[in-house]
Amino acid sequence: MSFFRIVLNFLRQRLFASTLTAASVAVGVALVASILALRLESERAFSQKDTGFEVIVGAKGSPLQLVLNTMYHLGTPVGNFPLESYEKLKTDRRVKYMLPMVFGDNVGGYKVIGTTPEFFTTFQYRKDTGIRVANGQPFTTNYQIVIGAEVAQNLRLKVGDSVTIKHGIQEGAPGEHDHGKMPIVGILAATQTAIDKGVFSTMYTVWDIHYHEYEEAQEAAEKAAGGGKHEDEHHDHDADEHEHTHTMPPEFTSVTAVAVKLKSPIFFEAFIRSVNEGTQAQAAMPIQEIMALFAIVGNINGVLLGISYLVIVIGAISIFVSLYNSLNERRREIAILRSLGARRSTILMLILSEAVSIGLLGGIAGILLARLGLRFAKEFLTKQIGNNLDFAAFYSFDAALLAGVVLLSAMVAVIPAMKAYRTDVAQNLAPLS
Amino acid sequence: MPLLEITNLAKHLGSGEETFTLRVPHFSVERGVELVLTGESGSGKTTLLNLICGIIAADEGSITLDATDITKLSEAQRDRFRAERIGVVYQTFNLLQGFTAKENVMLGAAFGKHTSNTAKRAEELLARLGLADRMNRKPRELSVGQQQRVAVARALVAAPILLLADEPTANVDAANAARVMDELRALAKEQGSTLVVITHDDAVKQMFPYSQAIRDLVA
Repeated sequence: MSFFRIVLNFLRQRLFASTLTAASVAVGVALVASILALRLESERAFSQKDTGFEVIVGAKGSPLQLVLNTMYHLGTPVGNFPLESYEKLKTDRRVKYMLPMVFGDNVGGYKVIGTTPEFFTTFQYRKDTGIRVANGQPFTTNYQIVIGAEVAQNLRLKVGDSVTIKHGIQEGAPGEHDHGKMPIVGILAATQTAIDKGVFSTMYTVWDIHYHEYEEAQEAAEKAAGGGKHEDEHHDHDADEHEHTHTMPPEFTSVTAVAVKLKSPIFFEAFIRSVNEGTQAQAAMPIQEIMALFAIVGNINGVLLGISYLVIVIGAISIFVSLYNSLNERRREIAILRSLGARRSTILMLILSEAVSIGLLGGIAGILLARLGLRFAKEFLTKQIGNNLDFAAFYSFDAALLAGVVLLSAMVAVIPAMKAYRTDVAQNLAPLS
Repeated sequence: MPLLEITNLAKHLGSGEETFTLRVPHFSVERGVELVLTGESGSGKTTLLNLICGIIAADEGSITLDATDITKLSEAQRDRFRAERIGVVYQTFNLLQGFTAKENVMLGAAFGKHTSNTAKRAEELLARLGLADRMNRKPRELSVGQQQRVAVARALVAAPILLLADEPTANVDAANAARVMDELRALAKEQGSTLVVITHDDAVKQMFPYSQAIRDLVA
């Protein structure tokens, strides 16, 4: 009978206690493995250094909010800045290209973003990687819709379908209001960025929707006041009906954000300064803002990680308690093994192996638990953080974590193992009275 | 040359004021014999058995088994020697409750020379002892007589040169006692093991051609 088989039999003999102990280790390992994987993947997802643009220009306010909202669709926009400021930016000779965005309204909870046809031609969301339309074509006129890959998948939409744009950045926002149906003309290839969650149309489309909302509100007010001039008028929009455009007051033609690619890195500081010196807009560097955010989050992460390591230590202590308490009832078993020729060192190794097996099983179960948990939480997390998190099957820290748990388990088993090592064979073999 | 020879053996036992010394000036057992050692409770039977097995170390004298003076061996060497050369059947069977009958028998050969056919030999011995259909049962699922037979199989599985049985019939009824002793003797003879039975049971004593009272051995 092999040594391993003997260890296995002893573990099986104390199955309930062994399972509970391994479970307590597994909880700690699962917490640590989850936090480490989350940290790694969120840093990887948010620290995209190879974006096709370096600066985001938006309304005055929090630069971090501007970056998070523009790049990851997190939170609400800082606000909008006048179109004339954008027109002025366009004339800046340091700019290689820029992409304006107007945020507003939603389709099934996904943000509608008004932009320009350059989104499909010159804009690069990654270095040297532009937008690709997987199905259909880019929008060519107002009131045509192009949707991101995730939107198409989750809302089960295809080219030729029509969508209803609802008021508000998020689904179910107060004052929800339909604005008629608009045709989907294209579906974008997946980019693994927030673009996959976007519903794109022209800036004019977004402005016009807002302007109509304003008009409808005015009409309702007039009706309430006894006017009722446009009583039966209804504002459905579709591409065929809206080939015409009309002039809107300037407060309805503002821009939420502009992604800017400069001709050279040497212009960064001067460009940002020149924008920030103005009164209507600010310029933010995404990578700088994200790193600042991680510096803050890193402290909280460290605390969480510390607590999780403590849970592992408590799991290891439970291995010690379980083994130590079991020794009293196992003295006779140990004496029997010794009488059959087992050396003291064999008994020592037996106890250490039991502890290591419990630690290893707990460690493996913990890592599997973490992967399973993250897999189930992926959709929720992606929605919460606004970026795609892809979790690997294995991480390099898994091996280190397992090795650490095994070492810790062996360390806490030294005292029980030494006690077992010193078991008096003759005394414990004596017939029980 | 005898298989077992004890010369001027002394073992100090107890502590404080309650100490005594077990002394055996000379005792030998020839190869292949069947011997009964008889003695009352407290006469030192179990201590002598533990000394011969090397479970406890002698303070003086020598114990030579199969030409090896085990008093000269280190504890680890004595463990190895016991695993390979000595089989013991204990009064209380000393089976491990978490192991099946077959696994308990296999443990008898787990710490000596590595052999690949231990499982097969365990099965053969158990079948021979009428436990073919009880091999995968845990000790608590076996009757007392069956547990005793598992203990016998375990003592024999490594084919020891010396088979020691400490009060092997103390916990079984007369019918089972006779059966166990018959099987023990037959199997020991078959594989050429020298059999030493330690007992205070006169019925067992009557079964053996040679007997020796412990009180005649000790000084």
